[in-house]
Amino acid sequence: MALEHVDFPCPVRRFLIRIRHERWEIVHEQAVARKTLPASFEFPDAAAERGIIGAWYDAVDARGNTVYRRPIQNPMRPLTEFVDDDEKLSNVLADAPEDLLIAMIPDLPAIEALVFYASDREPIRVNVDSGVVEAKPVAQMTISKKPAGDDDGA
Amino acid sequence: MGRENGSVLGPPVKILDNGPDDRRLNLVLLGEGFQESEQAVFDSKCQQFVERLQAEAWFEDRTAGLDPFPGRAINVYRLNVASDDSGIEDPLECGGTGASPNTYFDVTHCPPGITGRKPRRVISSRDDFHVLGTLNENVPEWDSAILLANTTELGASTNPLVKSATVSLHKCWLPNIMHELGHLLFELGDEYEYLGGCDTDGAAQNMALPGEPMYPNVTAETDPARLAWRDLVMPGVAIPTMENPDCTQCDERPNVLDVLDFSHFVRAVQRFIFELIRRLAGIRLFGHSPFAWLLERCYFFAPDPDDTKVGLFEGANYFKCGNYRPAYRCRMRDQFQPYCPVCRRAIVDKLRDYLP
Repeated sequence: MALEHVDFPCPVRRFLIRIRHERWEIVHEQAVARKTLPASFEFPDAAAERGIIGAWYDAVDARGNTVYRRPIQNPMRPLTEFVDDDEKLSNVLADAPEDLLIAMIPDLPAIEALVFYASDREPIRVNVDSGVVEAKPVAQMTISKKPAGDDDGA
Repeated sequence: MGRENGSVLGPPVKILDNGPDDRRLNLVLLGEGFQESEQAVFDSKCQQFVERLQAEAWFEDRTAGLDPFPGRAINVYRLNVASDDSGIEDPLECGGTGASPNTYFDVTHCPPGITGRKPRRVISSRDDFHVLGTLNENVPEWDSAILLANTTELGASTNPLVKSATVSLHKCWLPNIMHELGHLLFELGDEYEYLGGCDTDGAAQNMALPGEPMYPNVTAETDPARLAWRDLVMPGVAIPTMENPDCTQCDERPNVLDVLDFSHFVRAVQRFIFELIRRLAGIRLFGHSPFAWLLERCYFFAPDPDDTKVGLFEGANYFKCGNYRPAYRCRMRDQFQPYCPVCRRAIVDKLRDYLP
């Protein structure tokens, strides 16, 4: 069963989320009148046997069904890519006390929460056909029915 | 320093207009450390970027099945921002010049939270909230952003979590940006097999964990019948194509798909000329380097077509073994190369969502 099809462009909500000492918090929300987002992510077939390594967020309805899904860089292991003196690409692990991430989802009445999954140690078991995730999320946030407004700095 | 040290100059300028913002992928270029009198320099760099983007092989690929071609899915905005001072902060304590200009986004070498190797080569804003707020306010439909920092000192950083990168105007800034777009716009993974460097990684980067990565250009799958890009593998190419014989080392053996041809001769001549330039630039006469200017431009070797032939090459996604990439070289492994066919297809698939 594929995820629900979303017709874009449509109203979109952009969330700015702060992760501080494993505490996840929506610190800002912006309502975008109309926007196109990439189609919902579908797990690769190769994940059926071996599970997934990586991170993503799901926008879910009241019954926990995923309405929209996007992959993200693993926020539990934030890498910063840069170019070294020899012009080679390289990375450093950021050890800042807090991290920020952006999640954009279609503004659909059915969506009630944002759910985040992340792993770089144990593969997350997923059902590739149904899109169902067989793991505990690293964070879950109920979202308001109305955007909070643009009054807190970002 | 920061938001009180400059201002946004007027509305954003759409420098690549491919259609309504609500139906396109919108990339925003922001200036940092450009004074009001230097805006023409920023404008010129933005134009260079657009020309480089349009020159990409995938951009106008009319065989990709998108009407009329994939690049039409992308809009580019330029947001002119004037800073009080020119340049960016370069602290002495991490080997910098000690420059401490007052700039609008407070971009600095050695930003807070970066303590690994070569922190000076990492540049980013001290105030992501301010950067994101500026984007939200000026281009609400923005998807990704690049801060162009007004310095020729090597420096860059990419943070896909907040959909943005910061790049200095170092001589090779355009290839660097083109690699970062692979992450920011197209959600591609890195195809190199080290995290910090082949010589500095610990044992944790030797073997990938058994799960499947979420990137379209990296896999743990070695069964030819189930490989996601099996249709792009030419007949006769073995799967896996190359496997790393020593997972404690980066595999630096030549490409097994390499065929000796005229392009090898061209690259051999290029290497000879580059070595000549490097030696000339190193000559010092009476305390001066009269040929140093020769190294002020970005040199790189012409790509070898054999290097982007599709197969299954071990070493990718920061792991020396266990994760595989589609080609010997690709822009997601080496920013001076073109995208391999698998990445090109992933780019087109992504842009398909914007060109119904």
